[in-house]
Amino acid sequence: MSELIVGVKCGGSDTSSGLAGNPAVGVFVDMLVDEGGSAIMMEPIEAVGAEEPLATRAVNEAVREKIYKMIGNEEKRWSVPGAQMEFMCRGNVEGGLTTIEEKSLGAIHKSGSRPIVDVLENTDHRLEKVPKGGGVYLQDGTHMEPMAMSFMAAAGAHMVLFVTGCGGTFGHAIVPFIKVTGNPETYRRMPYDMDINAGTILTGEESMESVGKKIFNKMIDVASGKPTLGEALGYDNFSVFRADPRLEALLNISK
Amino acid sequence: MKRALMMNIEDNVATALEKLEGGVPARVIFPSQEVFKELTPLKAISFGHKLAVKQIRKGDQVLKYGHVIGNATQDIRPGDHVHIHNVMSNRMQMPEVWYREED
Repeated sequence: MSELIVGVKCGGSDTSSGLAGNPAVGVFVDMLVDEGGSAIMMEPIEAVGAEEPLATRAVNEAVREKIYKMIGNEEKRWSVPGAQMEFMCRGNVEGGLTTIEEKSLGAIHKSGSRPIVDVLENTDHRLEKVPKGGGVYLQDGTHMEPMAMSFMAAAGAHMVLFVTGCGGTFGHAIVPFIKVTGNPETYRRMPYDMDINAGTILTGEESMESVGKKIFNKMIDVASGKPTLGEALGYDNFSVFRADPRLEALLNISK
Repeated sequence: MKRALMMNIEDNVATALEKLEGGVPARVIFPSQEVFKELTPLKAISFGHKLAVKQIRKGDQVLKYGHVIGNATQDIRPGDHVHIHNVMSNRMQMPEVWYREED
């Protein structure tokens, strides 16, 4: 178990993600880390407004500063004067998410509650890998799903847990993708693509802990070679994100 | 009775776990399933949308998960819909056109 590295990511979020899908994955991450494994979360934009609960989990002052810096840099990229950008999608708002803070506070639940060991650097020149020893890592990069998966795979992730509210019809060519939805309606619509139904938490049928254990067991199955539903469907998306060095320079972003 | 979920005792909003009807009492529960109180929504609240569980004054912090998700741009009564029409982020603002379309 201490060899395992699991990435966590969310996309197509609605409020069920923060209430059920992400916290259930958080329960799983705590179990994984307690068994000696490692987890990576890459959500630079979906941490804006949630710096404090993340920073209080930093193992030391240096990591705490890295957390604030990574999130601060991402906020700069999305707050260019005169260039209003959609950092939340229409579906988020229709689903009931009101502000980036609300989205972020829900999103970070999927990293569980254990200490944050480090922030993995990810620039043109250097991509840090998850070292041995276990624990929770944040990784700098992008919120865009297939690209984030590529980065997490490059950092050593053996698989990725993907939490969705309204669904996400994609997978990844390198890492298996375990899909979790906290929205009972999404599970009803897409049972062939959603590996885990965390919507049972909202309907009151199952506890957060029991869904967390289900995810843990699914992770063991996938680590043992069993295909995920997305793999069986043949999803093999792949793309790589590269920050624009000119924009980084213009925004005075130092790493 | 239909339910809304309040994530933290400090919160002043709860999230509808199913579509709530205006004028029909709903139960506000915690993640432990324990009941906080019964509350009558002032209008229909869609699944996943929030309603105020306490009086919120203009300028007050809106709290969910025990943390600030924004500030109220107007007074919000218990049972009222809480969304982009009456809450503003302290960090990043959404495209203005979205606000006009809401409520």
